[in-house]
Amino acid sequence: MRRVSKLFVSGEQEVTNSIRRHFTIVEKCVELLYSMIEKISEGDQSFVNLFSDIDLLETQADEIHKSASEKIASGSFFAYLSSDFLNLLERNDDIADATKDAAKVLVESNLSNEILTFVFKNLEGKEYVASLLKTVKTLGKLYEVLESAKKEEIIKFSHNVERYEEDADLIKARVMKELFLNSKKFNVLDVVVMKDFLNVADNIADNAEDASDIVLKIIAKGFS
Amino acid sequence: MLFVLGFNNGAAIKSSLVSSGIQNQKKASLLVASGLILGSVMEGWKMERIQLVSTSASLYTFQVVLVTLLIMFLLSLFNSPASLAQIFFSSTLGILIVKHASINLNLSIEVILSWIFTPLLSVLLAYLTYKLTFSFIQKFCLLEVTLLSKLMALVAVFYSSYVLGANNIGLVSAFYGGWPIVGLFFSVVASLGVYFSKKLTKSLGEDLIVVSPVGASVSTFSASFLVWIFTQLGLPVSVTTSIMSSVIGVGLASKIRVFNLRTLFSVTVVSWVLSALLGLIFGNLAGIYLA
Repeated sequence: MRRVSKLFVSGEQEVTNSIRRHFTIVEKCVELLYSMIEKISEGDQSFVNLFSDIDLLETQADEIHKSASEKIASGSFFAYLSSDFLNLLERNDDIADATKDAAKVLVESNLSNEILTFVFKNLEGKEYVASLLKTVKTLGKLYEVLESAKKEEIIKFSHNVERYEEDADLIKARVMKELFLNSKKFNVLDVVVMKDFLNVADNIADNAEDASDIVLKIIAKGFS
Repeated sequence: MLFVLGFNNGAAIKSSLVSSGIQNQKKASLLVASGLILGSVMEGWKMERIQLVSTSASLYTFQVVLVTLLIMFLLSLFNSPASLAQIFFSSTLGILIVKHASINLNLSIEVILSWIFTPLLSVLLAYLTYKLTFSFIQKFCLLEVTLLSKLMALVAVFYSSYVLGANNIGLVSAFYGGWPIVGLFFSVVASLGVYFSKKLTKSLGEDLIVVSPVGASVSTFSASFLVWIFTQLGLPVSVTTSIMSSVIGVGLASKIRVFNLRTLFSVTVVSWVLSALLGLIFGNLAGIYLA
């Protein structure tokens, strides 16, 4: 009986599997960014080598995103929810894009060791990226249970993603404040670039929160 | 006329399956056709009671069919929902009145009362069914709700085509006699109409209010159940009016609802009132001018 019923929804299961496969790679991107920040806080200059790994993973994520989107658009999965699932894939891919952009800022801008140490060792720079990773991992857990959990559990996970995104915002605000309070100690361009990094990295959590909002929309529509 | 019924009503019933991608055109047409045929053959005979409206009713079948076809065509031109049952029966009455034939008044009143009660009962039944269904589906996960949704859509479409066959095709067959052969023939003709309607017509109620797939299935199923009840009583009712009233019922049961008032007016005035009125008037004219 279960096998027969699974036949009816095999397309839908494929959709959710594609989302999970895609997000596994997105999550790895953000993990690599955090590893980069860990190396920076330890004064390890080999952090630049991690950028090529992030770049490769982001390209893989793009490819999976493209094929999954084509499959959803051409099929008839989840009936009237397919455009929401397409938006969800898009938001997930934006997380990977934001991660790559943030890593690129750190690698290509040639920031001074002073400002890197200040932000990622003295201030909460590392904690900030850790909170971004936590937001993304919570979103990953949400996708693990999306098709099989009860509505209330999914809503709970979604609210957790929002909460962690807010925490990340608070940490970012504190780091920014301290950065500008101490800006006279550093090169002006370094301060501007560091600010740029914090804002670009913020898109990681913002896109994760947007994705959780789309999940709420899917739940509201799917259970109506 | 039955080809037009299949082309119009039958196509609108299958639209919900095809537009949501649950089935392709061929499979949806096959499902609707099998419902029409099964309904007509299994329970179409229950509409034979309608012959009791007058002993002379079957003498004017040709005029009635002509008038019904004309009115359905006219209403289709204006994209208005047309009720075969109401037009057919009221045009019969119109002709019988002009010909001074004896009419079974009690049965006629029963039929008219059923037309009045159909939309009201449809709204109520759909409202209650949707409330129950909504609280039921909250217990499941997303995948299970999707599965339920698909199954409900299939059952609802089959059931609505079954009652369309039993009630509307059964009504027409009753005047020609010779059930089940005549019923089978008519339902096959209607099925051809369903099959050849490749262009998707809008699902019944789609312009009236936006409802979820579960809401659409509930409205179709509860409306069909009501029409089935009236079929057991041998009373011809409009499947179209019933389904659209059910959609209103589901809409009222939803927390956020936006009705298209223009379509609501079209549903209540045109489908409900005008179909019967036009049938009576044109039936009168046919009785006077057609031999």
